[in-house]
Amino acid sequence: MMKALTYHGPADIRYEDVADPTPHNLDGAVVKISLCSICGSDLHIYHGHGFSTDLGYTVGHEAVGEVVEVGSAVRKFKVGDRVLIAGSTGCSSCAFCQRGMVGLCANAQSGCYGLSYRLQGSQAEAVAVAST
Amino acid sequence: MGGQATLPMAISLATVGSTVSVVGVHQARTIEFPMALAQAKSLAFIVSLTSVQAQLPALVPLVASGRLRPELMISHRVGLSQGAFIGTT
Repeated sequence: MMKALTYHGPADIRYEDVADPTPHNLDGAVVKISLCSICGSDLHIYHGHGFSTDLGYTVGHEAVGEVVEVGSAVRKFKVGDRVLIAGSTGCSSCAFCQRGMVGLCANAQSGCYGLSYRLQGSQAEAVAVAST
Repeated sequence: MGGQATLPMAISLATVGSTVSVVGVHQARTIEFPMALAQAKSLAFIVSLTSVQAQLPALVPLVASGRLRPELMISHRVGLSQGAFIGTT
């Protein structure tokens, strides 16, 4: 288990134990978080105007940290690398994502950390990064 | 811009042939849009979410060289265990 900040309803953010993250897939990774920002859209969530109806998920978008685990297909990163995690993410393989345009992901994998259980957020001791 | 108060203002202020872009994250399902004025001024209207990864190759060197100083934006630093309370302070 690890500690994380989780959303349970308007103005109800809790510091509690959650499951340790594991890579989502073979090209995923786990990053130990050193710093994570509070985003303007975190305030939407905090005030009860979030982006999903999930309760109990870990919040947090943008973060920096250190890679502690990588999937077997990861080539660009290795354990020990210091990394910056963008709040948004894509599939990393389509032509748009390869140019960094994750909002246009052709495989409909555009997403953001810390909005629901789909991609748990970075206000935690560690986060699973969807794809590298 | 992007709120109901600022969208018509931006459209009215925009120069003929210019672009009005929405910034921030918006949740309004509908919003009143001054269609006739925007059309008459031949405006481009852009609304999207930032693909941060596409910006990093330009941004990281600016931070590394000191031209951008994002640390100036940080007002508070707290440990994770205090994070649940920062909204109340």
